Amino acid sequence: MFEIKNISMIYDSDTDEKMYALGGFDLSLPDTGLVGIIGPSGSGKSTLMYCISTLKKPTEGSVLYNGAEVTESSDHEREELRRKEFGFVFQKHYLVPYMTALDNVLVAATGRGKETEERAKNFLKKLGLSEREFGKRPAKLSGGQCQRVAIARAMINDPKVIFADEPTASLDHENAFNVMKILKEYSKDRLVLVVTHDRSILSDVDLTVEMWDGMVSKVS
Amino acid sequence: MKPLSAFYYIKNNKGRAALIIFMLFFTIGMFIAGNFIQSMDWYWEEGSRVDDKIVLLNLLPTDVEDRDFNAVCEEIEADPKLHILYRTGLGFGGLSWNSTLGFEIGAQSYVFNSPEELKEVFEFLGLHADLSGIHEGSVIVGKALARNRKLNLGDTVDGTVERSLSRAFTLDALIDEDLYATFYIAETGTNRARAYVYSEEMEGEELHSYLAEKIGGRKVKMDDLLRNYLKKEIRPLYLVMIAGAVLLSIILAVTVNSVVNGQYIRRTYEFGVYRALGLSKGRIIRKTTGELLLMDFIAVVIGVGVAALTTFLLNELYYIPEGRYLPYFSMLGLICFFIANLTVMVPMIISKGRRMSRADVTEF
Repeated sequence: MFEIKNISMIYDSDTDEKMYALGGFDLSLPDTGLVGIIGPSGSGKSTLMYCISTLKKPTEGSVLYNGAEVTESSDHEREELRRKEFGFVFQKHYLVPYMTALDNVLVAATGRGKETEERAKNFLKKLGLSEREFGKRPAKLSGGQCQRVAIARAMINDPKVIFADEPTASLDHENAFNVMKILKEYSKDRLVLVVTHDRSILSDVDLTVEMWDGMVSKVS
Repeated sequence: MKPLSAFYYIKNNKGRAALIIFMLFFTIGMFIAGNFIQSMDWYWEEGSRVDDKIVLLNLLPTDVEDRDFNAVCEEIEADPKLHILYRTGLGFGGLSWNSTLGFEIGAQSYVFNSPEELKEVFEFLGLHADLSGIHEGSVIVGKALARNRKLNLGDTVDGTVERSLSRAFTLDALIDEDLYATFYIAETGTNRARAYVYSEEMEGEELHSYLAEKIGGRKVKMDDLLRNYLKKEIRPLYLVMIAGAVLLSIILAVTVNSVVNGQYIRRTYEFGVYRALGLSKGRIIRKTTGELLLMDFIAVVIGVGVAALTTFLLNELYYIPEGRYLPYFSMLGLICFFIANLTVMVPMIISKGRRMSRADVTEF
């Protein structure tokens, strides 16, 4: 699904003190499955995910998605891709604090009307939230519930790829395990990329990409 | 309600929205300030209507043996379209009044030789007053002007009341209309030095042009139309007011912007998430613009209501009993409001839209 070629990302590229976040490497990712990108802090794993997901443009190299070059595509094309084909789960869930759990899911929906609302409710139910919690704001939900709402938001458009950046970082072990179970389930016929520094949550992954100092050190 | 709509944001962030609405509400203050300034027009309105209908001709000292003045007057007398009333050179200044802005303003005055002359002119002008008790030495003013100067029927009006008056008059009648002009009855002699000219067929510029043509190059001075004089005198004041509005608006814009900035900086990650979810820059700009415009609209709607209520209370409890008035609406107030509102809103809409559309979730 993704073909990454000679990708590099340099911060402060205009100055003499260049900082390589990604050092130039190739990588292929499958169409389906749970892929874990693991590495210590500063290894470039999040930068790699941002580049693949079109949130950042690499300094050099290219990212092909289903054979099409996405690094050189227009803002509009990348927005469309993120809206329709990609889903995102962030480390701190990043729910909108003044929106209810249900509206936090609906905000990402490409569809409209009752049907979409029912779909969002079903997702939330499936992820373990009760109807009583649909109308609650993030501040009234636990960390685990918030992350499940964030996962529902990522899944509402039935994306082909879900990018999850440290999705379990702010969760206890039980909730972390549950989140990974949901993502694993989704990865049966979709691609789920999980960026983490916690090896323990990657016990069930189909592919592990290990990163070190801006380079892929091992793919297993 | 759609979660991305401006209504949704305001409904769910009442406290934050109220603070911005409260600050935007001050742009309505500029509307009231403009009304205060243009209240001057209200005082002059009825007087200008009277002035449109009566023209004062003056004898000039350079007119040898009053030949030109007398010749022009004779031609006017012979003209069936015109009426003429003579008076001597002795004049009495009008009673000044306290304006809504707080300072004193001098007024126009008319002097007639007899009660009959005054009654004739009042009938022509359509002014309403009980003139049964007027006589030589009477002064007649509008009810509002009398209240303004705290005068009652029967009061003596002399140099202690109006410094410029060289003799005493008694207030013998009050005009119903809000006319800030003074009418005296004073038999000052028979020599002709001034003349009131009026016509049933013409008024204003038309009457002035007609008389100017009649006077031609002769040495007779015709007073300018009060409306034109006021335009020349008051316009600079309006320009100063508009300049003040711009200055105050800039101060207000900086203040409001700093508050709004703080609120939007806290929301940067929210917009970063929207961008990550694939919302276009245009959609983000539309969202911030919609939110700000809706808050502005609410501020204006509430502000107009509060401005009307404030004006009503000020008029009923303070200004009208004092013979003063604050208009509910004025063109200058509207201009000042637009200047203030646009100065605050336009930079805010542009800067917030641009800033939030560039929000990047990867930078948190």
